[in-house]
Amino acid sequence: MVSKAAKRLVIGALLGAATVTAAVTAAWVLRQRPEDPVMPESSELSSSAHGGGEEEISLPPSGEKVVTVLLCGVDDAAQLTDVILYGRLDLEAGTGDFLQIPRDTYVGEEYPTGKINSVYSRGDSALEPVERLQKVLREQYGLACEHHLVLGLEAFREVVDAAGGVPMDVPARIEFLPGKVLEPGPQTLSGEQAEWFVRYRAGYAMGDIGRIQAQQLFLDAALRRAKDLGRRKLFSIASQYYSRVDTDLPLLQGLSLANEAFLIDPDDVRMHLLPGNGVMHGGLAVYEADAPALEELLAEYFFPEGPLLVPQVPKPYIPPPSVPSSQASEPSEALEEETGSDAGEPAPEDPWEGEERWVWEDP
Amino acid sequence: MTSLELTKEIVKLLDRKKAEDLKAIRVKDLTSIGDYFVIAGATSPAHAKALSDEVEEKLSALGIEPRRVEGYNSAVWVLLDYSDVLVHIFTGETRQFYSLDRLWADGEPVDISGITVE
Repeated sequence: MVSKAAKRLVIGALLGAATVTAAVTAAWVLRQRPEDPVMPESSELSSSAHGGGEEEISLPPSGEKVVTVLLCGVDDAAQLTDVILYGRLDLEAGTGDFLQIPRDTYVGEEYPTGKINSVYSRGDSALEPVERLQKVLREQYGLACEHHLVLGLEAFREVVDAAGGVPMDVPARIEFLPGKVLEPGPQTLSGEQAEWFVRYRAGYAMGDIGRIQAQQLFLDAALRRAKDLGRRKLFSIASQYYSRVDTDLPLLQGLSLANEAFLIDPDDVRMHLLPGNGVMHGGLAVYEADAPALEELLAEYFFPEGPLLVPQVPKPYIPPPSVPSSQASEPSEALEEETGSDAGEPAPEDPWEGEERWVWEDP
Repeated sequence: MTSLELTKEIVKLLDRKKAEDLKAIRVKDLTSIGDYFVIAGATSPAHAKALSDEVEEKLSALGIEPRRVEGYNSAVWVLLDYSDVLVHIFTGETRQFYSLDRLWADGEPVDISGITVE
């Protein structure tokens, strides 16, 4: 699924852009980062002669050809990853693909709400938060991420303000909360307003999917803003906010990647929504990934060389309509039957097919 | 301590440990975070770490802890985040080779000639 807005999506500078976009909100990681690589003594400077008139910034070549990255937005309070984007940038071919994963995607009973947004804070305690999420993405969707960038709400607001706000055309009136209203039309969103826009979902018939589409619009607008700022200003902001985001990338390497990503043509960047369907599960609305459709999508855009893993998407246990709801959360045996290599088996009849009764909750 | 005073204190500490090409820049109007940047050069990773350690230890004695320290292990580009003041310590030629000072060309230089001993 590729939206028109997505076709105009501009990646711009990856790290700088990522710190400006709505799709990433950071979490705090205290103290020191893993080992930074020793910088090569390269005399090759990547050309920064783009855009007339701006002062030249030289950056070393990144040394990477295809970059995979997990971008997450985290709410500061509950540490739920409400925005999850898996990105694949082909720096040689000059293309980019992003997979948007809804926060309510069902990932298994071992997670408190069964939803992917809780994996970060409540997953395997032996792993770092972002590693928990990376592990689930690898095991269930066959997605491998070399890099990650996690941004919190406060940092997100500050970065948007540092960029001078994000100009965009707000498609419809948004009342995030009483007194926190955005009228439709062209305007420049401040950090706080940007937060309202990307978090709002109450008025969308499709609930979280509506919000994802709004986030696509914002991402597009933010990256255009990043492009307008120019590399030097963008990298300046990135260097200022680097310590406010959680990333594995050392700053110089991040800037090098951003420098090369800036060359990607906006027409060659695509956004894809994780294929799937909304289902009710234990009284909560969850989004169940469609494994066969996902495999096709991954093969076409993310793993042209061949899949890493066959996706092992768990199916939420859906009791037959005659079973009282109190018995609905004993899924382990049923789930074991449902999971595994069932990509070729016919899907069980979905009693909720066609229903759009999504009760969106903030667990 | 105001952010300007903190900036000057950091410059002093770095200068005493022979940091090179010290600069302080006022970035207050450019961004909502941080009022000042201090930029320093080190002759080697060991020197960069020593500079970073010096700043951290001396400020810690004053009850000021950094929010984050980045890049310490390889010490090519060490970043100390003191919220209102960000300290960038570069080893060797990284800074000059890539003209990284241009990143902050919009900022206003702070006069530190009275603090540094050339």
